[in-house]
Amino acid sequence: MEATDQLAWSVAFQLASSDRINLSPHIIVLMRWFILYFVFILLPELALAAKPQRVVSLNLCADQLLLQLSEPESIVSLTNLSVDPELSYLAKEAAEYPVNSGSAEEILKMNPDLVLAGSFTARPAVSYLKKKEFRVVELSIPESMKAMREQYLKVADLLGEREKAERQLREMDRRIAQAKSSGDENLVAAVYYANGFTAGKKSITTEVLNHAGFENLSEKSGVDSFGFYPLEKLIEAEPDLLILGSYNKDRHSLAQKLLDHPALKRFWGESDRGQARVIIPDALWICATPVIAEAVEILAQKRKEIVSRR
Amino acid sequence: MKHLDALEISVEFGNQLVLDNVSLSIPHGKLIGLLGPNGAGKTTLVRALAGLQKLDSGHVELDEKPIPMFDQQLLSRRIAYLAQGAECGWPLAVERVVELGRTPYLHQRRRLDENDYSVIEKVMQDADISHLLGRTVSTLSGGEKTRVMLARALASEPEFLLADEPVASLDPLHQLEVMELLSNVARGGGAVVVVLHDLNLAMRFCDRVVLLNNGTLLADDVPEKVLNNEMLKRAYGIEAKFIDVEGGRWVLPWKAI
Amino acid sequence: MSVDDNLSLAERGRASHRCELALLALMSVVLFALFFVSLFVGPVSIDLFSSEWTLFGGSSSVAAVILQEIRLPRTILAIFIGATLGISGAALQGLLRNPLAEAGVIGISGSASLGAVIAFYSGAAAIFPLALPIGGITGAMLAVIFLYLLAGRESSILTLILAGIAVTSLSGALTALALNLSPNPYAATEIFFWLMGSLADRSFEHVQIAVPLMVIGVFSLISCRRGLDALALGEDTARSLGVNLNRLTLRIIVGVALSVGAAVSVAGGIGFVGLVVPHLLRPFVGHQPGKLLLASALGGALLLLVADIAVRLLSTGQELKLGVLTSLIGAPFFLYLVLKTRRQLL
Repeated sequence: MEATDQLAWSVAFQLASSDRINLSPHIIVLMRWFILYFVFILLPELALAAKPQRVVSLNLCADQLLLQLSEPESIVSLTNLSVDPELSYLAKEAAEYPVNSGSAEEILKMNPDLVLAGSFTARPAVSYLKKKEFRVVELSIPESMKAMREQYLKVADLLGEREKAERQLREMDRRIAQAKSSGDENLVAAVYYANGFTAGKKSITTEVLNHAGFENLSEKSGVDSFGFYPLEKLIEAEPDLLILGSYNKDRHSLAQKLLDHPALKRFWGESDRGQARVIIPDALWICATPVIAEAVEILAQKRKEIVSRR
Repeated sequence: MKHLDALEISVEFGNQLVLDNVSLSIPHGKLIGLLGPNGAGKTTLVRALAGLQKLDSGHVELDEKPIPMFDQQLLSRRIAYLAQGAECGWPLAVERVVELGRTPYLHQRRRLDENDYSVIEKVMQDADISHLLGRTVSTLSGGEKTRVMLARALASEPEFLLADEPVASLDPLHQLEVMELLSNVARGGGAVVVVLHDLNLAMRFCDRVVLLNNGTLLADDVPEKVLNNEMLKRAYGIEAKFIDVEGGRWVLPWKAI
Repeated sequence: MSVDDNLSLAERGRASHRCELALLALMSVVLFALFFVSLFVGPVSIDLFSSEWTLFGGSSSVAAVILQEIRLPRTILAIFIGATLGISGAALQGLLRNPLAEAGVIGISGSASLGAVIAFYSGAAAIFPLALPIGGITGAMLAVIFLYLLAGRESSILTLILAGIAVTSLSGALTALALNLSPNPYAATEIFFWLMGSLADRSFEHVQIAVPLMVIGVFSLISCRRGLDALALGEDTARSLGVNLNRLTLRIIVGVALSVGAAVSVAGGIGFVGLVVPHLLRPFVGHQPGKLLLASALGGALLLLVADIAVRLLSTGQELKLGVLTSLIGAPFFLYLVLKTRRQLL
């Protein structure tokens, strides 16, 4: 809608101001009416459309993007996961806003002018809202830093906050460049999430590890983007650094209990082996936003410790 | 003299009085027939004597000591109970069932020894089931099954054998054999209480007949004194003909009154 | 087992006793062999000869950590859990005189799962590790007592199975509810573990909290063998043979609750072991409920260890749940038993 309006407007304007094309007076009059229409009626609407006033998020990562990019007053609602400090980096900020559980009915009542959704979450609500011609933008899961940048800027454009986004990305680049270590030791790191899942070669996690000076164990072992990795295989591979997803002692699940397995403790708990383990909170890199610079910093620091111990 | 006594026992099921103040003494060396119409309380009385029935009043004593005061295993060596129509829950071999009769003599760690096996062998012969060795109880006929269960009850070498209708499903030959067997047990010094429906078997084999009706004891005496027309009329509501033959008397239920 | 007709009863008795001992010995030997097979089956291949010594001792080589921290506890749990499931199936069948009685079928496992789920997801088990098996045992105990009061010893197969369905559905619903109420986003997907059961990635922590309780349960059940034999002839006859029925029942309830409750709390509700094993072994012990107990314990251990090895061999990627395999074998078997006992059902 918005794009076609813009196009029509610019074509009409060019036509109207052109000297090379000989236009009949009638057409000129018609054009003027058009121009008046565009300037006084469509233009204010377009300006509004360019900077949405009522944004609703249906996805945890969309929450993060909104919280970092949008004007606070234009956020209407975030997901109920946004206030979970385990998963949401900006949980404290998110607490200011009403949360939704992703049902179409809830969203309908909020009457949003922009809905940000993920490609896998709240699907029934997304398809319903689309059918009702709400403006729904679906975010994908970026598999690289490049894709992350593109998506970040795209969302920033939607929100009319391009400058802010560029500033944040520059800051991210600066922090990553600063954190990067110069050593040439070939160190391998493995990421181990709840339920024995790991991030594979086509994931932003691998790029974060590479920036911090590590090779991702699953790059070699055929895990594509996200997959299961048996505990025994992990031990056999003997990675130099074991990175565990956040394990909160107060929240109980078998999935996370796996990260507490005595075999992991015994293998990466003893300093004489020269192997280390670190817990990177899921909230830091579960969503691809500029805050993953912080994950790079933590990992680079860990790398220095490992190298210095050898 | 060893004896098993029921002293003024009463048993209620719900509001129904099944046994009403029944007293009975069972001395050694006697075969006692327990007779009465259906629902008279025969089974309840036998279970009470075996210590299996909760009593509402009165008590059962063995050698003048109330039954609940006995150690259950020691008591089970002295009193054996053969349930009516006893079934086996699993398809055990015949000798395995008879072996169970030795349970009162076994402890956690004690297995059957030579003595146990000789007792088992003897009672199997007595009950005429030696030829059934190795057969599964569930494949036996009703009569065979009853004799296996009787052998099981005898295997504990009890002083008192309480048998609930052991001859109900037997053919005439085995009826006679079982009654002779019970009679021999009594001759051997034990006491046998047997629930019967056959008046002639009672007349012929029993030393005493106890007649029950509606939970009360109607008569308790030698067969000739109990099985007369007056008693049969009160208990069963029948008239009988009596025929004297050599060494005994036949009772022939003739008509309902 | 061929016994000469001319043998005396005592000789026959001793011969069949020898047969039974031979069966137990054979199963023990196979179990011992499978114990080592189990240690060498897994996603990582470990050289059998060079690493045998690493089964004990504090080396932190790859092989030592995998053997000691992952495969050894898993193998020990498979053996003990299989044994408890087998023996408790045999004991319940003996007590209820009903070949269809089994901890999973009649709802004891489901109820134990509920107890364990509450203990685990409430965080009680994180503070006090024994809370996990205690939760499972409490759940199992409540189910056994409820079933016993409802169905009783002499009830029909149909009553028992219907009561079991009710207990299973109710405890399953409450388990799902408890998992949904958990604030942890992973909890809801873990219902599969609790309903089907698995031994994947268990550790010595689980061995420590569950095995001692299972051993007590198994001993409690084995002490019931004479009573269960006599109970084959019915309650009255058993009592007249000197069996204290109340004590026998209590021992079985406690034994089943301890062993099944502890097993379920660390491995979830692995089904049908207690149904299949006693049924297969019954002919070998002359159908005697007492002799069946120890045989079923060994048989259960064998079956579960074989199933767990199979699960590891069959799985690529994330492991197939062990209970899925036992149910795939067990459920058709259950159906077969139902058809076989249909006459009694009606």
